[in-house]
Amino acid sequence: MQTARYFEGHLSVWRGADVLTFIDGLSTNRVVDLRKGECKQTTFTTTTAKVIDRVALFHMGDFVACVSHTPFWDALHAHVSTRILGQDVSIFDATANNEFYVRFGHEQTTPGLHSAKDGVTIGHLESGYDLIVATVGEHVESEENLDSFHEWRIERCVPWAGYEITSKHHALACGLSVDIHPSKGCYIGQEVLTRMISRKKQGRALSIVANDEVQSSEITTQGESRSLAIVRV
Amino acid sequence: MDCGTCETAGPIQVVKPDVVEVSLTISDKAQSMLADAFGEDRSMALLVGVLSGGCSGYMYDLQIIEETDQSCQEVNINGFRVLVPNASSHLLDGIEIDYVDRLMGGGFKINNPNADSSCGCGESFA
Repeated sequence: MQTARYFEGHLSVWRGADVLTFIDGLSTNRVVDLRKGECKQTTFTTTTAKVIDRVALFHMGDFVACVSHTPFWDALHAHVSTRILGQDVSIFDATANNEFYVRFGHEQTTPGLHSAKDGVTIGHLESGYDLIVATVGEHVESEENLDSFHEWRIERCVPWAGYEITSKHHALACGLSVDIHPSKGCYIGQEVLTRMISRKKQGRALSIVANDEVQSSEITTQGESRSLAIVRV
Repeated sequence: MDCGTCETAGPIQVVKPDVVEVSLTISDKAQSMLADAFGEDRSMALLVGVLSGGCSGYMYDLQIIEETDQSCQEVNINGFRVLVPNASSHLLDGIEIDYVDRLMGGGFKINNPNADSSCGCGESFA
């Protein structure tokens, strides 16, 4: 089991009676039935199904904590804030109070749940790794870079924000099919994704490739011998 | 995780569009259907709102209600009370409420000059 710190994490706290229905209407996964103690990843997309950001939601009881990515926050904020309208949704920025880590390379026993102890919250995500949010000052034993995590991702074809998950690609090409609920109903980008799924044509897909197998421009995460690439299918 | 319960997390600025004084119309067919729905009781009102979501980003929300907690404008058209939430007034100014009589996809329909596009089912717009 390894833990690595990453510096692009963003934590927003979403409060209000309409938070889950609001997020459900704007993102790919079904989150309207998320319960206290559960966590789930979902992806916000544009009308053309291009990714705005993939987030992890932690239901904390009184509120929902949304772990996103700082480089994408402005776009995500612009996307959601114009759509709150009269709904009971308030968003607070708690990024500065926290540090972000990933834990990987272990057997997950409770995917979809999160636990908290001494200021450290661990979300056991369906993607096969844990997301750790620690209050600043709480010590988490970790590596200071993501090199080992990226090698682990390459072997399992796990996408990561800023590498595979960018606004250049739609959610399926980024390898985010696990976030796309097949029957939840309408959300922004749903028509495009559903059409690609039903026609079995998505243009590009995330793949594990040998380093000399594809053009370097298609490689999204470079490994020692194998890499991740978004290639034509 | 420190979620800012100690007021260390600041609220994020949310875009609040200006409130627009809404004008709207209701087609004859829609008025006829509303008359059937309301009966003699004109104390009820038709709430025409907008929610986030749908394929295009915004979804119409039509309800027949007596009261609402939302801050609304009231428009009276031929005795029908129509309530439009101020929060979504900028998206609803100039709409026509119509009624489409079809076996599939029939019902009240909003013709919205503010919409750049709408999804296939007509329930959401952008």
